[in-house]
Amino acid sequence: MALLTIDAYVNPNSTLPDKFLKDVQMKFTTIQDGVEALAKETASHMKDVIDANKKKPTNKKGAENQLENSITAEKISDGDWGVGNTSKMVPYWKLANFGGIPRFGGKYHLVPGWMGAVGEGDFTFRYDKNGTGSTVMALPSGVKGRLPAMNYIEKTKMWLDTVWKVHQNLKFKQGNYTVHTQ
Amino acid sequence: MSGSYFRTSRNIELSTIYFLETSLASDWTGVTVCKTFKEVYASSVPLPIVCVRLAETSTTRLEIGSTTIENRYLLIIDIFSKSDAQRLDLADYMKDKLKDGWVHYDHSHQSGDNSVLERTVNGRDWVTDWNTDGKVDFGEAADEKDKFRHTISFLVRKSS
Repeated sequence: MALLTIDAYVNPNSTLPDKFLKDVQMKFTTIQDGVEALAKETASHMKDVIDANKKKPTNKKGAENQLENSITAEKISDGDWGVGNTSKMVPYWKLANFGGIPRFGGKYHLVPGWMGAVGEGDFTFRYDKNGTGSTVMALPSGVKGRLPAMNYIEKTKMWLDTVWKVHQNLKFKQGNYTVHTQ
Repeated sequence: MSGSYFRTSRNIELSTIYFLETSLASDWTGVTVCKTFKEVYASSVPLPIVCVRLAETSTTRLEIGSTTIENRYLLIIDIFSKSDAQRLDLADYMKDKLKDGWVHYDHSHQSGDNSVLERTVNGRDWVTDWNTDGKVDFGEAADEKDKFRHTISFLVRKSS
């Protein structure tokens, strides 16, 4: 986790406490706005990563882009933002990211819009009527379908780390105060 | 000598696989190292399995005004183990090995014969950032190979 700090330098001869407080609050508000923008940009980038890594996406109406559409940037508390609320994301978010055998509860879940990415030709997946991925189907005995890992989370985190490092080198100087991140 | 020479990304991936393969062979028994999920899920390959691959490259300029680029390579290791204890041990072992860096090899093979890889030492690879490290929990009913999964991802830089 990145640590955000604010250094405010006080000129004892000219800075009154209330002005000092207002200035720090103003800087903090600016940083909060920046974090919000970065969170939204990160969610957008994650969607782009998924879009770029999808193979054989479905064109079934309502089932396309389900994973991307379930990714949001949400405010957790003052100054804290989260990207990708897993309780709201499609249930196969983990499987799509890490790859594996799509088997849960003794049944095979469908992954609309992405299950076709198996790409190894073992069998064909079908979508359920709602395109939600909740319908099950049996696989022929001895046949294993596997999903390669998309790793959209790791790729997005790598992107975010790079962006953050660029920003942390920026210093904003105004008046007697210096605000920087470290 | 005519031959096929690999570029940096492939060399980093192959050097990492080679390093982990040789380390695991001397310190562990029966751990298979591979680079695709197709190999992982092949019924002929028993657990434990370590899958290593280079997922993405991040490119930035070294400094403003410079034409030199600075690459970071995202490497991902998936551990498929027999038990939770083995998963943790393998994860710790690999991080411990990787933290000190490893030899970077330039790889090549003779034209028309890709069965034998030739390796030439060319610097070292270093972990610059640990990205993710944790259990991948697909639940109790997961496939046998997915039951005790762990993933580690990190950024690598090649030193000259």
